[in-house]
Amino acid sequence: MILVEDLWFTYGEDFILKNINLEIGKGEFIAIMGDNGAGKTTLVKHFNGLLKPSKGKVIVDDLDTSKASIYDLSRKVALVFQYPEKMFFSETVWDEVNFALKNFGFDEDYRIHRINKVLALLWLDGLKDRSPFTLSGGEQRRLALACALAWDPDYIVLDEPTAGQDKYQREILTKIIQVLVEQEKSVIIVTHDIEFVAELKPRVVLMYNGEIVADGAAEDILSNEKLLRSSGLYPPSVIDVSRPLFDKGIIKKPIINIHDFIAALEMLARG
Amino acid sequence: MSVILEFKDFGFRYTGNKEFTVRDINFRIRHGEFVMLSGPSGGGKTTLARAMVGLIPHFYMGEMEGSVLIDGVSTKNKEVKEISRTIGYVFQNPDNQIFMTTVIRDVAFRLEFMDLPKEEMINRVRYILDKLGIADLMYRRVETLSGGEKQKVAIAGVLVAQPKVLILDEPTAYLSPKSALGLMKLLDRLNKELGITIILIDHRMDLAIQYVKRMIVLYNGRIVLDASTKDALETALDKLYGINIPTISRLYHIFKRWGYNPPSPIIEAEDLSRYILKEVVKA
Repeated sequence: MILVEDLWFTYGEDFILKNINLEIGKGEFIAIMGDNGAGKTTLVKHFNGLLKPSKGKVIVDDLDTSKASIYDLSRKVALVFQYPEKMFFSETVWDEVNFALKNFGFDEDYRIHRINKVLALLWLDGLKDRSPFTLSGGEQRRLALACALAWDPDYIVLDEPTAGQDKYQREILTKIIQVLVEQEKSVIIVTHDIEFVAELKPRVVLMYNGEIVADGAAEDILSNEKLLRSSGLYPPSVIDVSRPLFDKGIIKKPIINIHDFIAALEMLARG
Repeated sequence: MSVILEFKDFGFRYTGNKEFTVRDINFRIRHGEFVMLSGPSGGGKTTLARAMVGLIPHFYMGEMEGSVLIDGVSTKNKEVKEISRTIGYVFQNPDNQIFMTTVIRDVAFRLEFMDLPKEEMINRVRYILDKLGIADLMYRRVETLSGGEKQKVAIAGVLVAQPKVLILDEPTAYLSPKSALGLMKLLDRLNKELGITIILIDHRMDLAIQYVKRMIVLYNGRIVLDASTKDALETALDKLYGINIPTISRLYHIFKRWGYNPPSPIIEAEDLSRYILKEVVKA
């Protein structure tokens, strides 16, 4: 479990995080949402000790991030950032993942086992001899994720995973997240991609101006237009279509994604 | 309107690759158009953008077929610097484009080769920042800007050279929803008020749908669709490879399949709602 208790953070002047309290369980799937500058990335950088609280505590399982080493924390928590192409330096995809594992001192048999496993999970097994620099943007994103997953961390944090991804890559990403959640991994995505969140319906933690302003089910938060707009986000587009039906009492609650909306209309059509 | 950009039987194979990345590319873009160049990653979009700004053939090594004409002149006979006065290119990540310390210095950078008096340079920078609604950022240090602000500064740095065409490579990928919507409105204004031709490379349609008039879709290095936005969404959904189709347009097609006849795939949500209430659930 990741436990955040009364976390405050500042680089020196204003507080970028204020009074954050949050519990993330094993196997949970969470979206941390909010406008640019809300503090989302600053918050998740506390999960693996990249940043230390100015006040308050962050505990990962039995490790206090203020005291534990980045090495120990990184074993448990993997962070995958927005621009993967900046972090590659190996000659092949295989070597890139292997390097990540060597860092933790794993023996060769285990490394080979893990590399094969993550490359298969991330649909990269056909590309293991390719240079990371010749991969497409989407493949590079998946390679960065493969490196992060190589040593089997329990908590996986993805910063804006859908940014710049085409439809196919979003579908692949959805499947990967589903597999990880099935494996009891905690998956935390930092995103302002409301349509993606509406489709996958994780628990949503909404941030604004350094604070958590809502924490709950996607269906409740994503259908709360006022709350979203005051946090600098827009509701998913299906809401605009489904809201008038809700207002007229035809559906029981506003619907946030197209599949649920279609299902509801089919029910209505059947009577 | 006259043609500003033309691809004629264009093809390109990068040195070291066996296959051509793009081939048999033919299209014309006229002054004042607002076009979206789309298709899945790896389809060849960026290669075409490189050809539009002359980086192909002048910078990337490889075998080129056919030609790319700007104002009727082949890019083979123009220097990249010369082309950049007509065609401005905004990178996906503004951090790759901004490299001076302050906004004014960064935006003025492109003017420094033009031998303009200092006064004139400052005036031009101020004019363009004003147009983009960021005049207050003029003396700010670059590292204090938000992502959306950086994106606008990057665009200002390109626009200050007064190009006729603006190419943007996935400009909304890293922007917040608010900034992304703001950028689309800005592009619309640049297109309408200054007559700048806009070529938007993206695989998201939801934000741009109201503004983009024409869709060119690349798949496996070939153009598979070149149509008006409305036609593309109405009759050619199967050719919009890899593109994130707007929810409203997806609903339009589902209703069609169910035997209804909603007015348009480009319709306001409220209007679609009204249609559903009237025709589908008959409330």
